[in-house]
Amino acid sequence: MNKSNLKQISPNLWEIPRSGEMRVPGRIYANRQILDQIFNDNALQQVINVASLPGIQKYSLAMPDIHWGYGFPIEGVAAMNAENGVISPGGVGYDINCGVRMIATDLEYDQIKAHIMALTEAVFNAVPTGIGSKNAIRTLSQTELQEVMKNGSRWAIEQGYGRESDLEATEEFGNLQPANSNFVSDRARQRARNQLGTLGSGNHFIELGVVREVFDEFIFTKLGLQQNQFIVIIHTGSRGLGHQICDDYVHRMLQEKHKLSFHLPDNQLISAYINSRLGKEYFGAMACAANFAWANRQIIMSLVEKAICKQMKISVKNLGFNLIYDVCHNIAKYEEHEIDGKMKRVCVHRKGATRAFGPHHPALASRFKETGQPVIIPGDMGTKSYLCVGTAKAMKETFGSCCHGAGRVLSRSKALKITRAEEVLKDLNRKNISLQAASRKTIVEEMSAAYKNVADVVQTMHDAGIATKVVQTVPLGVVKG
Amino acid sequence: MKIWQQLEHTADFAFRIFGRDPEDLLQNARTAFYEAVFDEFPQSGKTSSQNFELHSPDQSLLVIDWLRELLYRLSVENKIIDSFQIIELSDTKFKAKCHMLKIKELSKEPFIKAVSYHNAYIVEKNCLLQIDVVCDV
Repeated sequence: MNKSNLKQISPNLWEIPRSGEMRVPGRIYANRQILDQIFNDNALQQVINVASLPGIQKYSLAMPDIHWGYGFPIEGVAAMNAENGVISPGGVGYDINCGVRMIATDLEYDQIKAHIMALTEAVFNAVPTGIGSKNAIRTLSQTELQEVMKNGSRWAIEQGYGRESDLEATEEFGNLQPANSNFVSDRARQRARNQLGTLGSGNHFIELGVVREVFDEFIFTKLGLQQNQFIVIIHTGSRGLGHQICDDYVHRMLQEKHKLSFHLPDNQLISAYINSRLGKEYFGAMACAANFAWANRQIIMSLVEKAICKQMKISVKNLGFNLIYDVCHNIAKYEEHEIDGKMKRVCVHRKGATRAFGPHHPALASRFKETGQPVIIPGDMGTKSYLCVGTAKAMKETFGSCCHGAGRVLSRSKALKITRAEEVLKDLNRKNISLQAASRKTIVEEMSAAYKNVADVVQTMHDAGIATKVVQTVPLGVVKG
Repeated sequence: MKIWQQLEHTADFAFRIFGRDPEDLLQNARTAFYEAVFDEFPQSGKTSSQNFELHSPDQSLLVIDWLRELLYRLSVENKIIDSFQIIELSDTKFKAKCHMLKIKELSKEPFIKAVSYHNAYIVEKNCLLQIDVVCDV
């Protein structure tokens, strides 16, 4: 695969024409610079592989930060016919409902700038972080775990972690159905029991930041944001539960590989027909992990709120912790989209891609009808993040989806070879960013130079009309696992 | 003979396992996994024996399923498989008597969070079997 195989559709959109076993063409959003990077790995072959899956509609899509994943590429989007298409755990990923939430406060930069280091430390101490982090709240009984998997964010709110109004600022209102815990294995339950309210490791983080640049005044005001506002971003997912569910179902589906009536180009792309017993069971279990993830981010938000109030010696009311939005970027969901001029029910897989519904979409709470759905696109720990909104064009072209961030350009082992934690900390210090991390290794692995420039990725989506940039935030303090 | 080597992977952790035959490949998969996960291999703990039986559609998948089992036992049960004797090995079945070591609770779970089946196929090169494994981290 090289550039000559691609057809340019518009300045930021490229097509892989149908060939071989592809049922639909592939389409990739990229500017010329990003396009050059895409050829560094086999991600385009994965776009082609996804295009061969039964029931795929219109295009096998990839957002600008496309890179090599398992089965699906990261930043891949595919909508499958809800009647006769397939569902693939590889199209969702291991960390089911890995996602991001952005929270605004009533505090301004001037009020917190002298407290950043202490605030970062307070948040680090309040939220268990790192590989295998546990016991943020009590170990859940089997009944409680079942309730979490069934009710998602609502369970957390009923336990006192957050407010009812948080639900309408959460994708799917923090609850994906049909969730069925009967389809979650004992192994998965075992991994989940003491992990609720924990951050985990890798690229997961909590960021304390500030609103720096405003791109769209109208939407900015509509979303209730302020210049120099102190904000918090939380990035984590379903922890061991999601990993085990994905692992269990890839294994089970491979055992039944012989039942599929199509060629499977990669074992990790294993799928089940959506309406088969196994397809339905996977969806039910996946929804449980999605709900767990929403409850997880809801609890973490509440732990962060308490930690900030305590550190700043202010009341919850004076902090004004207000959820802007919570989006997931590893998920499969049933949605209605216009295909060939008719509304059709499809199962949209977003693997490292974010839902970006445009204005007036019925799935959005009334406060977002005019603005479109907020989309949070975080950068690495040393750089800016973006708040965007979905557009009507996204509904037409990408099944209401856009990018989710900027991926790695440097492997962890290479990062460890070229620098030391002290150097990364010095660099962050120069930028006035305070860091608390569970391990020194993570500090090096997660350095800015290991990641692509998120600004290029977001600008491509903005220029293509798929998402509208609203605000840029910059980090002041970062908590890493 | 080299037992395993780490492969360059931008986002995750990948390694190649070598073996003279399928039995050797499974032995070396165990060694590779623990060497990748531990800086220092745990030496002490309560010992026990258990028979393991895995069924997979082919031998490549058997290797991945074996690694998945090692990961689960370690990260959830704090158990490592100190050694094992193969009772039966075919293209689709692996049965072994495993000697387990229950180690102290890990201060950190293994950095490997899942073992994927992505492009995992046993191939023969220079009279050796090899399989590439990509893990989610």
